[in-house]
Amino acid sequence: MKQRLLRDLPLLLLTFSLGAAALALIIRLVGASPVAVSKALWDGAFGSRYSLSETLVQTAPLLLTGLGVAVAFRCGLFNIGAEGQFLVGAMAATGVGILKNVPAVIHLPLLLLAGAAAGALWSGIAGLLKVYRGVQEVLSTLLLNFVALQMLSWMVRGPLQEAQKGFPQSDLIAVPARFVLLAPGTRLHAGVLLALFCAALIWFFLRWTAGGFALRAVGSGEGAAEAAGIPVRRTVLATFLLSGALSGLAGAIQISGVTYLLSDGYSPGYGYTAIAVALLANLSPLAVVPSALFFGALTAGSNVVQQRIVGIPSVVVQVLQAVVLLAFLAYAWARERRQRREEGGVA
Amino acid sequence: MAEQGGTIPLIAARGITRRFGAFTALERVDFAVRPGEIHALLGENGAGKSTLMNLLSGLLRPSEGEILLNGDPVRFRSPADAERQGIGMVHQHFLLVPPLSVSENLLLGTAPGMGGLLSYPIRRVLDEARSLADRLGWRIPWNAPVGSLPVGTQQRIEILKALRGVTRVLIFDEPTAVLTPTETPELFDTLRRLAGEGRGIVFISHKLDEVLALSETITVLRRGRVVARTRAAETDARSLAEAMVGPDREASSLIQDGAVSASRAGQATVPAGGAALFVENLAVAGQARPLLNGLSFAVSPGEIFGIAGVDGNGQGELADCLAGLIRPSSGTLRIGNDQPAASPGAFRRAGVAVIPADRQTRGLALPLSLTENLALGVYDSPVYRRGPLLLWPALRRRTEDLIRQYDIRATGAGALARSLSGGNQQKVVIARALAENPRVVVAVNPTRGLDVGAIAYVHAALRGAQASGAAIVLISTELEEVLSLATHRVAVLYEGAFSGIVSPDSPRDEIGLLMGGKTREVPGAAAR
Amino acid sequence: MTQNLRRPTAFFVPSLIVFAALAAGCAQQSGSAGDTAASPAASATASGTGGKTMALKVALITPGKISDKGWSQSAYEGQQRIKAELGAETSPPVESPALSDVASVFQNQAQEGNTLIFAHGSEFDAAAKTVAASVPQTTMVVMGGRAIAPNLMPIQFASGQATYLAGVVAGGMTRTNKIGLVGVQKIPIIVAAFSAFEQGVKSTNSEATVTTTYVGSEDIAKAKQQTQALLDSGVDVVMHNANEGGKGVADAVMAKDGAMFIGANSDQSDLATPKNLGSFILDVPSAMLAVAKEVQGGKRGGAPYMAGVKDKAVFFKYNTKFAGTISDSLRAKVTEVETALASGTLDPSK
Repeated sequence: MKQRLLRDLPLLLLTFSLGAAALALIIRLVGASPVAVSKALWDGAFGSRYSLSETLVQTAPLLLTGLGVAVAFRCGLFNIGAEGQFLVGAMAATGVGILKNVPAVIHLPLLLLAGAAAGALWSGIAGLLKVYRGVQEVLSTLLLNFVALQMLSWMVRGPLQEAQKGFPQSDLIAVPARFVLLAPGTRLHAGVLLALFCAALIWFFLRWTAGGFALRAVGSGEGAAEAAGIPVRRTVLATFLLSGALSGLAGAIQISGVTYLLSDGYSPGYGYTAIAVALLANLSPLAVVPSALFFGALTAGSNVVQQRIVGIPSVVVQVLQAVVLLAFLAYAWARERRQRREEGGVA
Repeated sequence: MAEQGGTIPLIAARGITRRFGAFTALERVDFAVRPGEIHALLGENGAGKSTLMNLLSGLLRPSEGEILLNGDPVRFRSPADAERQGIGMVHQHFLLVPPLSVSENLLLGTAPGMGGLLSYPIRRVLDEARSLADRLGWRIPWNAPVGSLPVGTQQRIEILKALRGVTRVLIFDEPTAVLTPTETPELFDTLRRLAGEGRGIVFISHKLDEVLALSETITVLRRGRVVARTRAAETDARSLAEAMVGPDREASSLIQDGAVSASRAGQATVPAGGAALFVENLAVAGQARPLLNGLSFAVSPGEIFGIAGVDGNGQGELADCLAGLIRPSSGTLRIGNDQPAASPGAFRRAGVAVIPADRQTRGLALPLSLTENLALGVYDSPVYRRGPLLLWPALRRRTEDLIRQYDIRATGAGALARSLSGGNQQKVVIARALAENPRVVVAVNPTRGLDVGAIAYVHAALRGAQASGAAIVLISTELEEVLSLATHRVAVLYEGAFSGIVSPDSPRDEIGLLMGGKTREVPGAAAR
Repeated sequence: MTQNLRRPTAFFVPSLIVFAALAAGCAQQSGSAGDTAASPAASATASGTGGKTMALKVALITPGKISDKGWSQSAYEGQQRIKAELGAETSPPVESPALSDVASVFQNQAQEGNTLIFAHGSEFDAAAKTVAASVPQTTMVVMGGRAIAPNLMPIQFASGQATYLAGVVAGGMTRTNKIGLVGVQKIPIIVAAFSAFEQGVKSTNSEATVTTTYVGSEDIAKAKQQTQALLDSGVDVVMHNANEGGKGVADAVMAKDGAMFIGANSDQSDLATPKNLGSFILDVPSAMLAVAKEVQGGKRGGAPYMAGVKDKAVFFKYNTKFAGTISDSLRAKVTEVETALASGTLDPSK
């Protein structure tokens, strides 16, 4: 495994330097300096204590949704509905967070539980449709994203709207339901630690438990798993629930750690970036951590790029993320090709 | 061997040899079809029937020898080229697009005209198909989606696709395999009519009855050579069967004369000591006809029960029933005194181990390691489990033991299954099946695709398991394999039922008859 | 089942990545193009604390692209006007940040030395409030916001002044003495604006009656249908505050002889011309300039800034292509009311 990583390194470097060159060209074309942009990117991601904390804050939701996607893909399920699961998680968490008269000690756990449960329920719909109706989860999870988006829009104007009924947003959640802040002057909250803990937990689950083994076996060879008596339907359904719970938890953590309220347009596309996070990590739960960190840094950094560099429209920031993804796509493609060539040679 | 004189053959193969690497699929084969002739091609699985057809229809090119079209040497560049020159092929598995209408499907098989994509000769193709259907007396719902039509009608559409104005030779690959009993005579009428119009028909089958009833000339292939060519009127089922399966090993008679069939299940002999596997009146329903129809047998500890037969006669369904993968429509399945629920897990816990036919999809999870693949056999065993945790160190040690014990050539317990050679992959499957000393082993085509050394290994492993008291069901389309491994009895599957249960020492021609579906005839008195 | 779960990963995974890249881009764009209706309330006045003028460095956060020919672009124009007229420094605007990042954007902008940050939309209100205390050197201004802190103030448009003016025009122009209002939703700010409109109508034409209807959404077809109903009941002047639905209102007016239209919030002379009398206008750049001047004068926050006629941030704009005539006496009346609104002697919110 390590050897392969080492061998793939030159390829990885090559594709990413090509991507970087393309980016530099684009930045020049819009009339900015690639050096200044890189500097701002670095400053925004790692330049100071504050920016480092921001990178971590950005990482948490990507880490959890990325885990959710990775778990599903490991079971051979192309759950691309992390976005919707994130949103329903955030909605449920808000619903619990704004409740009064909840004992302080259990308010936060209850909020997190509600978020995870809602996410699980949402992807569970796709799971049931797949297992009992044969509906392709690519389709159902994607469509459920749009349903969740509409539901959010309705929630913040309806049941979850603030008491003042002014803006399309909820009231602030109760103070005991919020994550404690870890460093003064920053937004770094304890939810980041929970996200990291989840990564370790998922790794342990996949690596050491019978349930995790069943999940991987179904994903790696469904026929063989079925023939060996692993209950394929049950495993598929459970995987959907787990995957959705992780993305729903991401929504809950974002509510109780970062924004404290729900508003229209709540997710900037975490659930979609999560797919890239999971794939860049090669679906390994531990590798999802650096992968999410990478995308988190990119987001935190690009926020600073935009406000410091004149003439960088926000679109360029999106282009930057897109180029990174495309570079990775090129890398994955080249690696796959080489792998197949080598295997073809053996067989 | 009857030689035929007279007219020039429509298509002929002269001295054709075809090799795939070191393997010779066809060796110096002569074959000819004349106008108006129905020529049957008979042979076991792997005898070279398909290779010969692929050569004649342009899919393959010969290594040696030549193909003559109307007496002139020809080289087909592709199946489309062959089609243009008058060779049509009707495949066993239809190449139709179910949601499209009959007319649309007919157009799909048409090459565009001179003007490229815009110049499909739509009207001409459809008119031609319509007049042909009229001539044959077929009523075709031209605008109905193909998927909604009965199989027999779908086959007629395949025939219409294959028949163009220029078509002189039509090749049918096992055309009756998919048909219901009532559809078969209708197909035969069609074939006779087409031959009557002066076309040459090649009819591939392994069903002796059909071959004798339909064709004028019969060519029998065995191991890539023509072993018999005869007029149908001058032969009988027995000599065809003998030609098909080869000479007798020992002269002996059928144990039960083909008299044991579905209806007389109770007579399946049960060796003393009680059966480890007991099957009674097992049936699996299918769409056109039952896939399994009232199978009954029992297998004792220490016995290898062989099940022979040509592929597609119910082997897959029987194996799936014995593995717990499908629930039979009716009948009883007992492992010792247990009657496990129809799930692979329950069957495994009851002591059934399976060596599945397709080791790459059913046998192994290729992206997983050997430890993980071997864990598939014991992941729910308390020995390797503490609560929700799997004891991977113990599983790894077990894998290392099994690697040694079964001589699996791999870099270690962590090697991925996909990195192994076919033979070693099969060793992993066998190790997993036999490691926990199962009461019943179900092996399906266990040596398919393996080289000679690996085949010997697999056979030795099965004999070893038998010697240590397992009851083994060996389902294989390799007759040789079944006859050499079966300890007491060989059953022959034909259209979902046993056409007979015989001794492995029975004469080959008798087994060949059973494989061809000649159930109730008294050997020696076979006549048409 | 067995079949369903197996598929060609090799092809699928790369296409997923491409899809993810596209979807992530789209989601970011659509996620932040929030609602663009200004949300002015109806209370409080400006109160400066006086003192020395200070150097301004002005930052801006917009919910959409600054080239959107609408809400976000108007804020960018405001920033440029502050630069031109007050000689202030500016920072590059931040377009459509993720809502969860807004607090961090404020922080960074303060760190980069900006003394005045305009956040152009009520969706930034909550984040501004959480950040305010940690950036005491910086003044934050939220357009249409609500939250207040020593260094945080919302800009609210005195849209009642604008609709009052529109009411004056409508009352003078109606022939049937029936006037209609089409609102998007019955929410406090719109109710207040409509009530001011009615006062304006009564001030010129005590016999006219005003009928109000709410569409409930921005559905153009529905707005058209409800406007038609109004027109059929004899109404001949219709003003809307229905955002997108205004197009449906204009369509209905166009189809009815003798009907007239008044546009909302910005110059809508492209709608229902030549039956368009004019539009009541909430002018973002003027309001921002007025606030920047206050901040330069030492005001930091503590109360909403009410942008009104006195700032030229709120007015009625006649449509030059109106087919009929608006009498000089009516125009004089409008000017008279404007003076009264600017001086504070007339206050429709009371």
